[in-house]
Amino acid sequence: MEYESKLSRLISILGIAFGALATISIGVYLVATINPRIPGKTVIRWVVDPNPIRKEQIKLFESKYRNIHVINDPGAEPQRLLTQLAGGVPPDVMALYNPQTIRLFAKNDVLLDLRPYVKKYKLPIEKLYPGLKPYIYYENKIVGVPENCGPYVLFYNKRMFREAGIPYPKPDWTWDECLEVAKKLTKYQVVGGRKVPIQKGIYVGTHDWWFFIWMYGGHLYSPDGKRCIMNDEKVKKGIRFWADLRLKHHVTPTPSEAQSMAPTGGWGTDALLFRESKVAMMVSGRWLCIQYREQKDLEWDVTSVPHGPNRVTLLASKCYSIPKTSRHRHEALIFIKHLLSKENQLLVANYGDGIPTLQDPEIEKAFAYNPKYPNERNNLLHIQEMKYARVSESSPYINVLDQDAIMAREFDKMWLGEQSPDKTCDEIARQINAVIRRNLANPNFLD
Amino acid sequence: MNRVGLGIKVGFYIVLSIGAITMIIPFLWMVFTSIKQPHEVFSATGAIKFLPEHFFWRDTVINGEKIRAWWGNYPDAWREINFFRLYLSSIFVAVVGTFGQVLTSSMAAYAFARLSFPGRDKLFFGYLATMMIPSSVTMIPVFVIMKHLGWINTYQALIIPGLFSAYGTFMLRQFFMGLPVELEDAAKIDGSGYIGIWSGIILPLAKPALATLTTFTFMGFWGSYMWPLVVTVTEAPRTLPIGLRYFVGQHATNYTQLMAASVIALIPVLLLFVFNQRYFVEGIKLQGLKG
Repeated sequence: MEYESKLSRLISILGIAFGALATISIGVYLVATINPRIPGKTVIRWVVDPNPIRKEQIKLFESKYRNIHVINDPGAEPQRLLTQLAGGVPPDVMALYNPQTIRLFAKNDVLLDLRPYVKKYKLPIEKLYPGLKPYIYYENKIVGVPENCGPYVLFYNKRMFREAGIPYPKPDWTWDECLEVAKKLTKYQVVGGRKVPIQKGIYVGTHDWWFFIWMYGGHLYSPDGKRCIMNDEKVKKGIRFWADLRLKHHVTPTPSEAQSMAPTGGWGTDALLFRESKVAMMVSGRWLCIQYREQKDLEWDVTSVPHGPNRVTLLASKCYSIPKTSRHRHEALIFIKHLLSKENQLLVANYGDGIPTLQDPEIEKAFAYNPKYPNERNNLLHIQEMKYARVSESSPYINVLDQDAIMAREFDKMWLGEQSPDKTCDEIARQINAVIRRNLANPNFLD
Repeated sequence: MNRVGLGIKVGFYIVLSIGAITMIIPFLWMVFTSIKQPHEVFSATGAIKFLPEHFFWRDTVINGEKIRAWWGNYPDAWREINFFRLYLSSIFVAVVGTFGQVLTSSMAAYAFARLSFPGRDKLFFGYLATMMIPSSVTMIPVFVIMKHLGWINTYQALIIPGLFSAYGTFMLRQFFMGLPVELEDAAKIDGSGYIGIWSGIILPLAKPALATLTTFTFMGFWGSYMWPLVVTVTEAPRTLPIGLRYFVGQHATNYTQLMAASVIALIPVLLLFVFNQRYFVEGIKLQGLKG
């Protein structure tokens, strides 16, 4: 007994000693190799999502500029960027994912104004799509360069259209035509005496308000951004149509229907519902192509988002900016220049999660047809839609988080049937204008 | 056992089984997804495909399409990111951080539970109050301190801010307060000092609580994402959760490799739980009883 106890203690002591030795050895190895030196090279940090294309982009860049090494640093979360910028450890090039974030950083004077460098580094700003201005300019400064972009289009399930005997939609179709098609593609089954949706015609999310605000030519803000004009009759008419899609015609799933139809809820429910053939149509962007192209049993194509009297769609992009405090400004500028180079833009075209932003016939041709994906015959549509694409509206006098919170809260009431679409528009306008008035009166307001 | 008792017992087991199955399904989905082909992750027919369609021991070609062997996602995931380095970093940070936090927490807890000094309870209350401050509020100040210490992108920055925990101190203090004082008095009579009592009497008696805290702390360090992301700027000192981020692109996620990497990443936590299970469950029970 005593022998066993001693043995057990010995084993414990040996185990602890081994664990401690192993941990110390690992620590010594890790600390010794934490900063491998790259002699003769300047290292710059590119904070951006880790898409598979990044490796190729960096390889291409480093083959051209052998004295610069680029680190693809994932995690462009604003919280991280703000902490690092505030702490004086800025990245050299960082991705900013919407005009509101760009404005927030620019307003706080964090971003390098690229105007003095446009000529010196031959940045082809004038060759970028005109609709991308909110991703490039803040006031009259050039604060970022977008590398790819995507207007929202309509994805449709070809098999579901074919089985219902409905011709595929044409790019110039209207919301009224879309509604009629969606009605035919909505199906129910009776379970325990209850009608349960098994398929809906179209997925339009509870946050997809822009299409309907703009549908009849309305706007969220007056041109100077000092007044919310959501209560305008043109906006109300569009919002009434949006509400009817779900509440009157039942062609688009309610949030609870979407949750019950999708295997997982939350963000990305629309993409999953479409992927699983639970909705026949869905409004989204080019980026979903790279997911759906791998889904061999899904037959899909794209056409333009239906329109009202006003043909318009939403534009998404991101820009790359250089913090003023970057320690490698010259190298960062070279890198930015490279991102807009023809070679890099061809890589973007080939990867295909967005349209390359440089307007160039050769790049457009490469984007329009990728021999690796011969079924994607409609790629040109994405480029053609750029004519109608615009970025979401915002006002410099209200933080976009406050704006979205007000809109989401009031629209939720509409979806719950607690208030009419007209009243919802009135309420949103009233509340946003109240915040704008308060912020205009506050000299220290900084978004 | 009468029929009613048996019925209740059976019902009880059915409810528990449903709970257990509900808990284990996501875990099984992760494991099965890690051995699927990319196109099998989601189905276009409306049904959730739980099991992989193909299960080959070697890469196989069917109708001109290459089907990877079931284990193929694992080496692919391992190669896709610098897994070896990330793994070592995670182990190092989690082991040292856990050891350090358990050490400081047990010392602080002993002081708060047993030593008498002016302002002790107020100090403890103040210490507890730090639990109410969200970590995002203190992130920038702590980051600035790290920068002034020259610790950005180092293991010190990953470990040292996490060494002090109000939660661990609180948990151990409550446990220590339930231990009999007589044992300490006897040790004092034998000439033991505070360190001797802490290491020779308190810690051996507190194994369940220490095992519980060790497990929680290890899991905390192992799964920590935002702080390691903020405080590191190159790949070298990063830990596994940031490595897993490389499988999640802006618009597309490599689910099969992500799940394979997640399975590999889960192993140390699983092992720790298995080894600590006996103490861990006992610790939870004791915490529940003594509150």
